This record gives sequence, C-alpha cells and structure tokens, in this order.
Amino acid sequence: MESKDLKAFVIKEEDKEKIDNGGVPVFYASDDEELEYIAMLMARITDTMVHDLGNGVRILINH
Amino acid sequence: MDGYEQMILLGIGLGTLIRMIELKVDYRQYPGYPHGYVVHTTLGFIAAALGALVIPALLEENYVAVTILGAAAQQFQSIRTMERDFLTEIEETELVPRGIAYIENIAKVFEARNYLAMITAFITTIGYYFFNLIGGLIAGGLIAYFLDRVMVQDTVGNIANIRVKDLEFSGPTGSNIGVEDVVMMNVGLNEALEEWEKSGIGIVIEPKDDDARATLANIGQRQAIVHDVANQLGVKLDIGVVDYTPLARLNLDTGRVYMIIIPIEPDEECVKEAVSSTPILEEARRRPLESKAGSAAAD
Repeated sequence: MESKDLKAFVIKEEDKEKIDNGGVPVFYASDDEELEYIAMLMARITDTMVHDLGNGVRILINH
Repeated sequence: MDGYEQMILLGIGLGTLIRMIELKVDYRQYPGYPHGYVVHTTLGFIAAALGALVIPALLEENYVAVTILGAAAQQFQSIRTMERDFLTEIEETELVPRGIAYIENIAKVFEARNYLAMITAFITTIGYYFFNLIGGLIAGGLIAYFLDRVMVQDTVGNIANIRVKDLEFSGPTGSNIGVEDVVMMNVGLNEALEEWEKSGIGIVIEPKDDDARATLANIGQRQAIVHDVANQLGVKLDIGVVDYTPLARLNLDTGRVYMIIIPIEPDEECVKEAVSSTPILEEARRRPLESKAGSAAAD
C-alpha cells in the first residue's frame, strides 16, 4: 500500500483555532461557498481527495 | 522423417485451431485485436509444432530432438513475462487499474493456453499413430474439449450472492458514504456528495462459505471485481477527479464485501451480472476449510 500524503487544510477563518501547527499549508475561507470552492479547486489541481472531518475542517489527501 | 507429414500437419493444425478458439474478444478487449491476435496465434502455432514433433522424433529414435523440444518448451514461460510486463506498463493509463493480482492471473492464463495447444498437438499425433487420421482427429478433439473444460475459471457468482443496495450517508455532515453500516469513504465536497447521492450505488457481495470469504478478502480479488464492474458498466471518473473512485471494502464481522461505484449505466441486473462474471483469481483463491485447523475452527 502506498503512503498517503496530507497536502493541505482548508478551513473557515472562524475555525482557526481548530488546527495547531498543521505542518502543511492552511487555507482560510470567509464562508462555506468559498471553502467549497477552494477545496474543490485544490483537489482538482493537486490530484487529491477532499475529506470532511465533520467539524468544519477539510483536509486534502493524496491517496 | 518420411511418412510423418500428415501426422505432424494434423497435430499442428488442431493445436493451432484450439489456440485460436481460446482467443475470444469479450468485454476485456484483451488480447488486443488484431495485433495481439497475430502474436498469440503465431505462438500457438509454434507450441503446436513443438507438440506435434515429439512422437515422430521418438519414432525415429531421435532422442536428441526430443530433449531439445523440452528445452524449447521452456521458452513459453517468456509469454507470461511478456504479458505481465505489457499489462503492468499500461496499468498507469487505466482509470480503474486491474491490480497486480489480476495481471498475474491473465499472464498465467496466456502461458497455460500455449501448453494447451502443445498438449493437443501431442495427443493428436499419438491418436494418429495408433488409429490414423480419424483417431488423430478424435483424440485431439477430445483432449482439447477436456482441457478447455478443466481450464474454465470460477467466477464470483459461483462463490457469492450479489445484491444491490442504496448508499447510506452518515456522520455529522452526512459525508461518510457507506453500505449496511460500514463506512467506506469520506467525501468533503458537496458537489461530489450530491453526485454520490444521485447516481451512486452500493453492491453487497456475500460469500457463500468460509472459503469464499477468505478468497473475497484478498485485495487483488477485490480490485479485479472493481475493475471489471467499471469496465462493463462504465464509471464516472477522470484524472484529477478522485472523489468518484470506486471502492471495495470488507465487513470484518461478516466477511461481506461492499462496493461503491458511480456507474454510467446504473442498471441493477447488469451490475449483478458484471460482478458475478468476474473471474476468481487463481492467486487469490483460499481454501481454509480444506485444512484441519480451518475446518475445525469454522463451526
């Protein structure tokens, strides 16, 4: 099994404190629409999959 | 070797013929037509020629020739290597990869079929030696038919029951896609989630016994099923769009295999048919019930 790489976080600005020292880039969005758009675009460009942690944090993972 | 022409020609003819019959164009579109066909027909011809020459060489007491034939037969192992290399190379161009186990299985089948041509030619010449032309035809035909029957691979339909189920969406944001309470994928994009809700289907593959359970648990076997279903029903997938990747996962408690996919043709009966016609890979096959420990532990 290949390793899975965490590429980025995408979160809303109000959720800032939910990630601490992520190690990979964190992208901030001002609302849900922008969050969805950034996540979608990043996923398409970097060939990654968007996962929803359920607490407002989206992660981009290269499977 | 005077007088053996008819014997040899008959052997080569029948051997090549059976090899050609085994080459079928089906949904796998493999081997490729027309060039793959030429390659394999030619190799089948060579194999048949080798098989047909054994008896005449023995009759002439030309034992050196027989030994060399044995060495020549070794060459057919390279067919397996050739097929494996080719399929591994093109694996990267497949949206849903076959997986190495499936590739290995296909390569092995191709090697075995050349031996089929060889054995058929050999038996034909024996038949010809004892009973002349008619005997050769009958012996060759019978052995070809017999080997053809023996070499039929089991399919998933033989060892499992297949059902189609709706997907379930769980989790705080409904982004966990699952089947029968087994979560298989987490999708973070609303767009992708809507697509899964609209046209995604879940497939339940329920093993009939513990042997089947162990076989279906094999990762290579599961990948083969996913590849075949995607191949036959189409799959909504492209480079950079990984959200719609079909998956097959195991229910650890029951051994059932669940599969999720967004097919282009979501016809329930066809989905079942596609899954059940997937071959059981020789390499994935397990028989724990044949062992003492396995059968005792099973009850």
